[in-house]
Amino acid sequence: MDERRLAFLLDERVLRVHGDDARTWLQGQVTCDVLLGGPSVHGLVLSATGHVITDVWVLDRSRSGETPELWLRMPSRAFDAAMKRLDRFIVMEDVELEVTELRVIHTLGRPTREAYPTARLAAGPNADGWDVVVSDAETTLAELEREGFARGDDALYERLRIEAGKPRLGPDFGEHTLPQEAGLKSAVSFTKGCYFGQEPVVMLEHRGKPPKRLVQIAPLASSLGPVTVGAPVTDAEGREVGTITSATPEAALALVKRRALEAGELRLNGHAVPTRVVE
Amino acid sequence: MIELTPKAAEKVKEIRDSEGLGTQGLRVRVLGGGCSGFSYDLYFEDETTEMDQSFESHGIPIYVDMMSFQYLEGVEIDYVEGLHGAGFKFLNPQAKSTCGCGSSFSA
Repeated sequence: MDERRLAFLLDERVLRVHGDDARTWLQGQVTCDVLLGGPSVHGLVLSATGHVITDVWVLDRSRSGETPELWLRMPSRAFDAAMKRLDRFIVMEDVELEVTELRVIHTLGRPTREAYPTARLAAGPNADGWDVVVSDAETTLAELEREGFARGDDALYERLRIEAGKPRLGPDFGEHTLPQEAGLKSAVSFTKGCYFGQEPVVMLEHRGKPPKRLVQIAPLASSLGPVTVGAPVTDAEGREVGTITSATPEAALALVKRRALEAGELRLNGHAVPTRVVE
Repeated sequence: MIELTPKAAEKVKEIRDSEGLGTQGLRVRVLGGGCSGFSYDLYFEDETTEMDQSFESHGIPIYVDMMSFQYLEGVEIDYVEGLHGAGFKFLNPQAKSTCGCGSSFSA
């Protein structure tokens, strides 16, 4: 199978944020700088304690001279919690949140049709990935198949994601994870000013160190035996210092104690393994 | 009720006079945003709507929309000056916490 021409229907939903105050209001709600412009930016919705409710891709769909409109792409599993959190902080701003039926298709290889609403290098596992946001996913998938894209399943997408070292909400980070622990600093602007949940994140950045770090363990030698989610990661003395969060036969992601990572080698099933901190 | 301390009222009058705004009132709002979720907003205005609550403190008219008022009832607005800066400070009995710089709060 040619992996350069694959299309995946992602388990994501899209929230439409519109109104005269949409941009400035959203700027105070997410970690990324939505006022910088550009078609798409990766950010986080945080809790008051700075933990991650979800990651989002903010797509500015505004047209010149018209009411600002932004789309927030996020994993379906976080949609209700994120919507509730965001809705709570609309007071008198001219902002409306609208649940859409839009779906997100990720392709490996660039679609040639220009009619797709949005196609941009984005959140996927491959440097040649593009995201297409559409109202009718099945029709678009059929069109992509005619273009030569094969439809990829969730298992293949997960394999590519883990081998690329990309963390995912749910298995690798979530409500108990700080952005710096999960390698999500690139989704945080440290210059944009205040946003909800900012203080713990900034304090950690300037005064402390993350207690845990997400690492990619790759390649996984066959001598290790099966590596499964939940398996313990140990230090050289056999003490448990972390847990596998995502795994394929070739690579795994693990959340491990930073001190253990700094102290020396990590082990899986008693064997030293190569690690790389997810940044 | 929303009140200004005498020092805050004096500062509001000073700013209003320097801007040539006559007898305009002070609009107080709550907006979503800031480190703790909600932030305060102050500006001069001479128009009110039927959705507003109106007060007067030390001769300054104060206007608050009903949505914001639910977070502002009982607020006292002070004006403080220090080595690290000067500005209006909200003493809000409904705030569960405030962020480090004091410009936002949770409720």
